[in-house]
Amino acid sequence: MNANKPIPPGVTIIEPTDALRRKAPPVMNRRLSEVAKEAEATIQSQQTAYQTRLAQDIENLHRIHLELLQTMNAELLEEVRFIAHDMKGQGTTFGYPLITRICDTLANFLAAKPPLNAKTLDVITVHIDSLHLVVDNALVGEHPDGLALVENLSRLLALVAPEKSGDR
Amino acid sequence: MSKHDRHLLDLSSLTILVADDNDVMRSTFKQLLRTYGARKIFEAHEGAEALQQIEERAIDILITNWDMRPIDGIETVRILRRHPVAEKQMMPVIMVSAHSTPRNVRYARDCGVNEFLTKPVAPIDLYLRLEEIILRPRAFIKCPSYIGPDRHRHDGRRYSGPKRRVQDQGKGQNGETAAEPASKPAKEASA
Repeated sequence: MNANKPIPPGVTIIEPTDALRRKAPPVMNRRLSEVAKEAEATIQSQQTAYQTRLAQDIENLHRIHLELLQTMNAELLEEVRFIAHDMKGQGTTFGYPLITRICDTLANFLAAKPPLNAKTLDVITVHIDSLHLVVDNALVGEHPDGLALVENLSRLLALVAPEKSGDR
Repeated sequence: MSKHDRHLLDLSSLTILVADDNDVMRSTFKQLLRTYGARKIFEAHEGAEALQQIEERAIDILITNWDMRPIDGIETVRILRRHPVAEKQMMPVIMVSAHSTPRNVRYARDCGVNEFLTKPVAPIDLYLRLEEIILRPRAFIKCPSYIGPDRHRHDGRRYSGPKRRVQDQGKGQNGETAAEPASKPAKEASA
């Protein structure tokens, strides 16, 4: 915002207040650098909950995949994308970057609205299998085997993807 | 010295609402906020529930996920920015999302989001977004094409140095000019 410019008609500018600053004064005996370490530990403490959720998400993907095979209901593809996108957001936060990468490729593939055909179903299958592989073998962090897996998934998608959609 | 070597802000008096359909992420945010000293934390499972809570309570800051059902984070912000009560309409919002491409971040900003927190979430980043909202609040803009915080973080009013931009040519030290248009289209406004 530049106060030297006249305010165009129809535009209202409400100046900021310091209300939140007054409500949240500095704490003299606590340093951010120390609390930041505690926050990292907080993330670690959520690991078990994350792993339980991860197993549930993969199970849900399985269930929807089976339903897709039985019903060929294209609306279920959005369900798969929604779950994959959610899993993508959590993986790296909790030490599973491979989960994030696998779900990223799957979510992006489905965001491009591919037709519901055998090829698309195969792509979903191979991604679910990959997720299993990561979890069953506890491929945490940037595990080299997992990275090779992700690379192969990307190659596969380059062959079958309808077009690059970007994120979302 | 660490770049984060400064006093923590006391978040205990702030009321923070966390909207996320993922129970693990919701719990993680709650735990992180507690670690940073927040005490009054409320939860919502999706946008409609968040808006309901905003109706019922005096929320200071909303932290919302983007992808939620039935009402996602973006729609929640759009509705909030048209709220008839000024305090609620101007509520600072932190959007959390794995939709982190520049295009999506710009889209969220143009919908009236104050801060964008990318997934995977780095714990320190959550605090830094809160700190930004608390210590460096921005003006709130209302115009036909946009309602939300000023999308320019730089406050031109505080700049007192020489004007070197092409568009500043012919202006005095304080930016005054005889040829300044009386008005500009809203989209060229600082919003």
